[in-house]
Amino acid sequence: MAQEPSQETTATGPALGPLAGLFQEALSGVQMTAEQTAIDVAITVRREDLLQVMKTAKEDERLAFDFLRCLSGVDHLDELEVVYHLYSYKLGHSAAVKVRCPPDDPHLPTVSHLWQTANWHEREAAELFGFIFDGHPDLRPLLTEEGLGYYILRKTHPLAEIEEWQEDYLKAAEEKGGE
Amino acid sequence: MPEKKLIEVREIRDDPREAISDVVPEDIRHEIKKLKPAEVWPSQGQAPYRQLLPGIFQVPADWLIAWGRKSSLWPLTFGLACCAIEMISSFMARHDLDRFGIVPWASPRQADVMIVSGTVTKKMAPAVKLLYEQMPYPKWVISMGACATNGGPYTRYDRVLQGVDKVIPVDVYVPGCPPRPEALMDAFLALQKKIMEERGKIGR
Amino acid sequence: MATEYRVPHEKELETIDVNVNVGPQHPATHGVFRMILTVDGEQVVDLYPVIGYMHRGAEKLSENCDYRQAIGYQDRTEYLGQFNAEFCYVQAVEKLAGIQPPERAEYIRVILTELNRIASHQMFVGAFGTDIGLFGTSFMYSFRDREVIQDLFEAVTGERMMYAYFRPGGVAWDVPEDFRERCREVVAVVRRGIDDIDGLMTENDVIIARCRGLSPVTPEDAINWGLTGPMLRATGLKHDLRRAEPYSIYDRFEFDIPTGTQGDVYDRYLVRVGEMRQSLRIAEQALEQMPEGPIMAEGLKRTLRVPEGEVYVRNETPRGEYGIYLVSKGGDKPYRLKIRSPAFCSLSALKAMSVGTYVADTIINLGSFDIVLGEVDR
Repeated sequence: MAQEPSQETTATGPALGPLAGLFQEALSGVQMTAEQTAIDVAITVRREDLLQVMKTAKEDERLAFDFLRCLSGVDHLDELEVVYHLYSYKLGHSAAVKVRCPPDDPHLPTVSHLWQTANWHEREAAELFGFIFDGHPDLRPLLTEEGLGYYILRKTHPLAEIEEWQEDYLKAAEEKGGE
Repeated sequence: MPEKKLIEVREIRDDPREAISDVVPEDIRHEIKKLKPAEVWPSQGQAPYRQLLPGIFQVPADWLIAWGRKSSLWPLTFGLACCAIEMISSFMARHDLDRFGIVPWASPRQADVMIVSGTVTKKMAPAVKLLYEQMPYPKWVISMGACATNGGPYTRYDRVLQGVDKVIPVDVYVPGCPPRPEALMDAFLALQKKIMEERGKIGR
Repeated sequence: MATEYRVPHEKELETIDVNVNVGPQHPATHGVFRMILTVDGEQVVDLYPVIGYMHRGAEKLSENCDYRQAIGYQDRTEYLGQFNAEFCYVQAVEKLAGIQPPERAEYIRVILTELNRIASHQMFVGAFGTDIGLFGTSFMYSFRDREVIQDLFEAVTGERMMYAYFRPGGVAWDVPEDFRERCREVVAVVRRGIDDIDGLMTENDVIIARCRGLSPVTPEDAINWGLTGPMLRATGLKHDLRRAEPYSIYDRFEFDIPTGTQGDVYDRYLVRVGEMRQSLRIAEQALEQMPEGPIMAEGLKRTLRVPEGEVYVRNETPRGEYGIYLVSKGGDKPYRLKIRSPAFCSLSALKAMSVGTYVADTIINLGSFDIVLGEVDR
């Protein structure tokens, strides 16, 4: 069931670029909402349609997104989101694709077979946010050690406290020297 | 010294792809993995040259050996992060450190000083400890920059070690982010003064 | 009695593949980067890179900082092209908040950014020579130019590195009065310096013999692996973000885009030296055109509050496409600041590019990527 791109954004924000229309044409059966960020158009799709959307984005001639620029995880407090930024060298346009998932079921399909660069980006998002990309060849942690047990970039994880141990040590050394 | 567990540092695992090297045999590899809190130099009594020389020659020998040590400090090139660029700058033509006898040396086995320049993360801490233990005595450590002193601007992050002196003993701290090459030269001069002052008392 | 002895063919000899750990501390790993090479004789059969030794959490720490305080983290993330990283971040904040910096500020930004690009490429040339074997000589030449540029930056911002000079809305304070003359001198000195190091290394037989034909890359592979910047241009694709998606005032300047032919190590070196010369051209043109005027946009409060929204701003830094994805939910702190690091994407291609070469060639290959570990690990 095709959903209209939210035209009401023309009243409250900038008008949608032509890419929203192209996405609608190429993926007519897929439910999506489009909004205009400051530079690109961002298409929000559902988790189930993600693989189809990405495959079409890469292979369709009107879209031809051959370059995955960036894969970011975002922690909205009740949901996790992954944002894919795509660029086409042939046609020179860029867009963003967003997908959301609940934090206790963070499974998403991988796109590393479409763009090899997603390999490391997905590993990083998985270890810092807790995503699980189904189909990824090697989802081990990249930046942190294995077996960390918590996801650092989630909003629920606090900053580290400054360890005061150095001060205690200096005090103890002074007392010892004074004796 | 209080026997406190300083930090939780991950040990190197037995996955063959994370092995230190194929050549290190099994039992020594386990010892290298074991991490202890930092200890100052084990004082095993007097240095050999002091024991061999008769009393009247000990003081000039102290002076001579300390002068030799301070005049040719070879730092281990241990550039971690942004401070490494300023460290390289200070070895180069404008702020020449070679005139003090300081020649950067890549191998820990022949180095005297370790300049920890940059943030030490908890993932890197076993490697720092290993490198420190691979250096033969006498050895000194200069902690360059705010990150190596106490974590610096990154101190509130989970995976950052708040100061390299949690795993190795440090002799000179250089503040700055990054410290100017002149500040690093000042640190070396301070280290040279320290070496002269503690001559004869350190057991080596 | 003579015994028959036949020299065994090399395929009949039993060998084992040895794991060589090019560990986090190594004179040639450009920072704390570890590779575990599986080596058959001298040829690399497998390469397993381990990163994360410099993971300091600039992204998480920026979420607890003001928009102005987070500029300091950008400097330290990309610690060789600091102005480039600051520029990208500051543009992201300006796009979200709808601020337009004044003309003079734009010109100052462009001049300083291009000079910083030259300084970063000089560092590359120095390290590249060191990897090949000119231990120390190439560093001496390149740091001569770097010191001249850093002196100029110190006169403008007060710092040798980690400037934190760009602000959302302009720059922090105006340049000194003799900036134009001083900058012209710097450009002249740097031009001679580039010619010097060009003469030392470009036609050098040893460098050509070692680097020509080493791990060539096709444009399709480069796009697939996410390589951007000089690595992509070395493959032959003439794509520069300052031309393709122009930001700030780059559409007012004339400059060429140097490209290579095969994407091998020598082409990457040539592209970077060419880029240095083009940066000098841009800096000269900007110096001619720079107007007088204010250097900060009007009406900005001390604590910047940015309305809700998100933006992905990409800049052409010395390593490639540096992207800042900034999500803001109102308030004075970024909600999510994701840094798209070009060196991270290049490193993910290291294994595919190095398997089959020799160990020494892998080191040169790694050097040609020009990675900065602060940005790989953030």
